[in-house]
Amino acid sequence: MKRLLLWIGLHAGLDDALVGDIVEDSGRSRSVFRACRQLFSAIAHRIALDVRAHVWLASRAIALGWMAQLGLGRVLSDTLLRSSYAWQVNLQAERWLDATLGFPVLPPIPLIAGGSVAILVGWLVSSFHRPYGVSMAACFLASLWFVGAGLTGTRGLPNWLPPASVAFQLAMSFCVLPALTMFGAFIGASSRDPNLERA
Amino acid sequence: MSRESLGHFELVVLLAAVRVGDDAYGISIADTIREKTGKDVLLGSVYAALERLEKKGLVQFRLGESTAERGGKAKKHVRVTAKGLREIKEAQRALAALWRGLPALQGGAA
Repeated sequence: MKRLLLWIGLHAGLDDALVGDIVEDSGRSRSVFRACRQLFSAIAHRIALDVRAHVWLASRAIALGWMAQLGLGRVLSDTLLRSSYAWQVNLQAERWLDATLGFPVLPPIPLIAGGSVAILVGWLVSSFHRPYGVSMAACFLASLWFVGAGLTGTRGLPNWLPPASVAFQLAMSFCVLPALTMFGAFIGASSRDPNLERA
Repeated sequence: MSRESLGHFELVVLLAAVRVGDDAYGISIADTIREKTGKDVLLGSVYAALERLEKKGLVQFRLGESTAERGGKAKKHVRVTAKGLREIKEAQRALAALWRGLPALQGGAA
């Protein structure tokens, strides 16, 4: 638990002493919920401060993220589904998945492609914006949510699908893929390069 | 009061740091605030306030010892500067002046 808190806190760009305090506090309270609350609120503070102080970087992160998202998504989907063999596998896997879950969902290959793209994009945005990587990736993610919510609002939910399918798609779009993006961002943030000083 | 006047939470953090003394750091300040006000404060909020106070020259930091229970991270001790103490006294004077002469609040009526 201590190591996980340290890793997340340092990769998110939190002050060393603050991370130490959170670790010390978690040792005293022995409450996972409290430790998570402390950590994530500190990260949220950090993100807000970084984005406010570096608006230009945040804009660049959003632009880079969208270019990568659209470009990589297209390339990966086209590559993976190019062969007829891949189509067959995808179709069979989709039937298996639908039968297992009991309701229709997105085909597996686009799902896997989407997840991979999310991690890659998070990693890319974060790597190009060190030492504010995680904050800038979060900013990009907020833009994704904003657009996604807007599109869902204007187009509405697909009413020809069963509610479970809609819930699955919403969970993928608004929870799983964003979580994978932030996972990629944390990997890309790679803890403390001594030559990179936070302003 | 200076042009950059103290926010409510900044004042609370400053007062807690004065109470704790030379060993003040994030956890001791948060504990003091919880003990005296009954409100649980998040360490992130305390540090954000301390950063703002440091920029205003009201506190100074000093790195302390690192321990295994802190994952090898050093403590950041807080010392309220002379300017910080003046700001606290000024805030006390201003608040006391505002409180003075206020009719007792009874049943919500001013």
